[in-house]
Order: sequence, then C-alpha cells, then structure tokens
Amino acid sequence: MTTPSTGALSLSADLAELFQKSARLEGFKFLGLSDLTWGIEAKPASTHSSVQEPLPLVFQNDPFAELARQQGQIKTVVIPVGAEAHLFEKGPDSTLGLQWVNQVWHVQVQEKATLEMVLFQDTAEFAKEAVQAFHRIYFSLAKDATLNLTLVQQGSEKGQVRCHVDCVGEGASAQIHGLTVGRKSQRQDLWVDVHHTVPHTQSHLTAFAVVQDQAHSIFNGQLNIEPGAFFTEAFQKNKNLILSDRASVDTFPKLLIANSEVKCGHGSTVSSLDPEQLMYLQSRGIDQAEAQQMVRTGFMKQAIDWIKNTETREAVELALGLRIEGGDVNDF
Amino acid sequence: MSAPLFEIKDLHVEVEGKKVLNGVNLTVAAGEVHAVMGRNGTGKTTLAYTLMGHPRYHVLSGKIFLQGEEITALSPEERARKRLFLAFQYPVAIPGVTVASFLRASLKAVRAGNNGDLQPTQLRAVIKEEMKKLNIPDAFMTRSLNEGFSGGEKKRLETLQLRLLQPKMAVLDETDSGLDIDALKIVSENLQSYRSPERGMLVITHYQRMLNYIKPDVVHVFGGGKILKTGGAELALKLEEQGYDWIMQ
Ligand SMILES: Nc1ncnc2c1ncn2[C@@H]1O[C@H](COP(=O)(O)OP(=O)(O)OP(=O)(O)O)[C@@H](O)[C@H]1O
Ligand SMILES: [Mg+2]
Repeated sequence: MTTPSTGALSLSADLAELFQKSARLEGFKFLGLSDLTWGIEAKPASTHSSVQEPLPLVFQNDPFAELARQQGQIKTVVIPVGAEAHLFEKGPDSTLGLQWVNQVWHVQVQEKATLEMVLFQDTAEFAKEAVQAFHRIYFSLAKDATLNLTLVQQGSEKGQVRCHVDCVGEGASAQIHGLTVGRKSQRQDLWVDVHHTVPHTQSHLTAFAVVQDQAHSIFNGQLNIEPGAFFTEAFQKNKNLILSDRASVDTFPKLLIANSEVKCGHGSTVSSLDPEQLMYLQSRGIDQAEAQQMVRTGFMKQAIDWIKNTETREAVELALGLRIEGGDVNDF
Repeated sequence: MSAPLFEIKDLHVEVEGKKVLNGVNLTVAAGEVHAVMGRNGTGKTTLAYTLMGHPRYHVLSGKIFLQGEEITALSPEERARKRLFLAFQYPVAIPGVTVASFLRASLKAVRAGNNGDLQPTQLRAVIKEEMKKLNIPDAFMTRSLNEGFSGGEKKRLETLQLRLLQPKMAVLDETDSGLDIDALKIVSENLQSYRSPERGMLVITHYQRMLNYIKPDVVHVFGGGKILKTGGAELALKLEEQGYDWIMQ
C-alpha cells in the first residue's frame, strides 16, 4: 500500500500529526493523507484498535474546508495477514455544522486477518435538521479472513449506507448486522451486496429497521453466488418494526445463485408492536409506555449485541438511547 | 366480616366477537387454593386472561374483586401492582430484552415502586436466591426473555416471577404442562411453600399430578364457559379416573 497521492492542497506535517492524534490510531500505522484521502494499516496482531471521527480535525482550519466537506472523503484501511483489529467509525462530528456528508471506505482484510468494524452513521445530535449522509463501504475478504460488521444509521433527513462485500478467498466469512432507526420524516436506506466468488465462503446478514412518525426505511440486500462459488453458505434476513401508522418500510432481499451446491436463505418480516408482548410485560406491573419502550429497545439490541468490543458497544447503545449513562439496564 | 380475598361475580366475556365465558362465579378466601379443570377450549385461559385484564377479552357483564376492591376496569399493570399475578399458559418471547432487565423492571414496578419493601440494591440478591431454589442457571439472566426457552424452562421462569413478585392472589394457567418429572416436583414445591394464610391461588390444570403436591381446598369443573361442578380435592381424583362425561350428562 502506498501513501495516497497528494491532491490540490498539501498538508503540513503539523496537520498530519494532528490527524494522527485526533484519530486515536492505537494499533494502526498511518499511511498518509492528502486533501480528501487518508490510509491506515493495522499493525500485525494488534487488537482493539480504534479510529474515531478522525477527519474533521484535518479540515478545521483549512480554507478549502467547505469544499472538502461537500466532496467527501475516501478512507483506505488494510488489515494485514493474520492481524486482528477493531474499527469504530461514528460520525460525522456534530460540532462541524455539516449538512452534507459523503464518505467512501475501502477495507482490505488480508489472509487469516480478523476485523470487527462498526460504522455508525449518526447525525442525531446535529443542530441542523436537514443533514444528508452517504456512506459507501467496500470490503474485500481474502482467504480465511473474518469480518464482523455492524452498520447503524440514525438521524439523517436522507441517510444512505451502501455496503459491498467481496468474499474473494476460500474460507472467508462475514457476519453483518444492520440497524436503521427512522424518526420524523427521515428517509434512510441500507444496501448490502455480498459477492461470493470462490468456494467455501460464508455470509450471514441480519438487518433491522425501526421506524416511527412518518419515517421511511428501505432495505436492499443482495446475495450473489457465482458459478464457481461452490459450498457457499449465505443467509440474509430483514426485520422491520413499524411504530406508527404513517411510518413505512420497503424491503428487497434478493438472492442470485448461479450454482446448486449452496446453502442459502432469505426473508423479511414487517410488524408493529405485538399486543401479546405488551400484555405480558404489563401483567408484570410494567406500564404500557415502558412496555412499548422495552419491546422497541429489545428489537434494536438484537443488532447491537453482536458487537464484541465492549467500549464500542456501550458507545453505540448510549447514542441510540439503549443505555443510561453510568448504568446498564442489563447489568446483573 | 371482611371481604373475601378474591371474587368473581357472574362474569360474561367475549373475545374476537365470540362469547366464551357465560357467567362465572367463584370466591377464593384467603389461604385457599382452588383448582380449575375442564376440557380443552372450555374457556379456562379466557378466564385467566380476563382476570389479568388482557385487552382482547371484553367483559360484557360481571365483576372481579380483589380484597373487596373492584378491579374489573383496571389495566393489567394496575392489577399486578395490587398483587394479582398470572402465570401464562404460553409465556411470550421478547427478543433483545434480557431476563435480568425484565425482572428488574417488573420488581421495581410491583414491589420497590409500590410498597417500598424492596430496595433496588436488594433486587439482585433476592433474584439469585429464588433462582437457586428453582434450579435456574445464572446464564438465563442474560438470555432474551422466553426466546428459545423450552416449555419447561418457561414454566420455571413463570414460577420464579410468582415468587419474586409475591402476589396476594395468583392464577396459574397450566404451570405444570411441559415440565419433566423432576421439574414438576421442584416447581410444585416452590408453589406449595408459597402458600400462606393471607394468600390465594387459582390453579388451572388438566392433571392430578401437580395437585398431589399442592392439595387444593376446592376443585371446580369448567365447561361451556362456566363452572359446572364444585367439590373438594377428591373431585380431581374422580375426574382423573372417570373423565368428564359423567358431569356433562
Ligand atoms: N384470541 C382469541 N381469538 C379467537 N378465539 C379465541 C381467542 N381466545 C380464545 N378463543 C376461543 O375461546 C375458546 C376458549 O379458549 P381458551 O383458550 O380459553 O380454552 P382453554 O379452556 O384454556 O383450553 P385449553 O385447555 O386447551 O388450554 C376456544 O374456542 C378458543 O378458540
Ligand atoms: Mg388454556
């Protein structure tokens, strides 16, 4: 991996240092950055490294900042052979006053490497109502690479996360969870496209969406199993919880299978709050409003519980309102 | 004379446009255990749900009293806080809500919130102690409520809730079904030891087996949405031997 090319504006060494600090790149080696691009590589065998909202600082005092914000950013991440890494991207930063966010990620998980990644498109704390956020994320999984990916979105007037996973090495496996939280008149979509091109690869995708008010969410899932990808195991599920009459979802789980030696499955469910669940909770003294909140929270937790890194999981739960600061409702 | 612990007066109930209960009368005095037996589909669960205030079951006429206070129009949570309890025939799964967080919320609502007899800090210790008595492993606490639980595991969890929430009046809807022989003994013993001169129970069951441990004071035979016959503990034994035909004639 080479240092990304320098673009129209070159950054001073100071800025590069600032970037590294702000990015909290523990466990990662900095590959370089230019105006719209940065790259990092996990140090071999490092664990629980994190990258958090690294880019905004880079542009903070920059005369072209506004332009850069509008054009977006490209990030390259390499998890080298045998390494184990954890990546948490939550953002963009609400203090920047952005209205338009566009990010592209390229992530390479090399042989026998393991990556746990959480991409949280979160604009819920933004002062401006009309934030639009777009994330594209491409993964390539080499032989025996493992990906545990969680994609979460909330807050944007228009929010889109498009994820593409290529299982290009035998033994590669991906576990993907999605969670879309829609409120007000937000419109959010989640696209997950998984390609199985070689034999013996696996993918399990479960996407959850919970919508209230007049929110609308769209799930677009596609499993592509190529002619040579024998013994593929690929599953996708989409579960939707609709909390108001005016909220709605569209769900498109697609399966394209070009050989017969595969185990595949797909399906969607759309439901509102189940009166039997509410009755059960209420019969235990829990009032109706709290019962509804518990069912909703439980639904969302199904997507989040898979995050192994405790610090990240707690941060996500906090931002989603699933956890009270200083105390976990599930502590026992 | 003070009011009986629990009273059902001429209860008529409809569900999904279908009349299911046709005038149920029943009085449970403090300290008593009543058994309700009857063929499938005769309205036993309908009665249980109605007593707990399930919104799908509409009371057309009749009244329900707990310690002399009418509760017919109360919400399920209000009834629970007045210490009425229903062990469900089919406990409901709630994905993503752990048993621990559910028990805490419930205990807080019914006990800590209400009478102040249980401090939040004591909850954990109390829960652990009761779990041990019912042979429920700690690992259950972090699992989703009733999700993927076996039939018997669900019934043990219902029993745990009864013991934790300490109701004055408990309605048990087939709590014995789905339990293996050892589990039936454990659950029954935990129910039996819950009996006290102040508390009452209405035990809906198809078999004598649980009644061997929890000897009922009164046995009712249910049919066509009402009580057809009432007797002592020997009535359950006779039903086990002879079935229901002789009552229906
Ligand atoms: N929610 C409902 N919707 C439609 N019909 C119902 C509903 N609940 C009960 N019923 C009907 O009412 C009748 C009584 O049902 P209930 O469940 O009370 O019987 P039960 O005595 O508990 O039977 P079992 O011994 O099999 O548990 C049945 O005919 C049943 O189909
Ligand atoms: Mg029943």
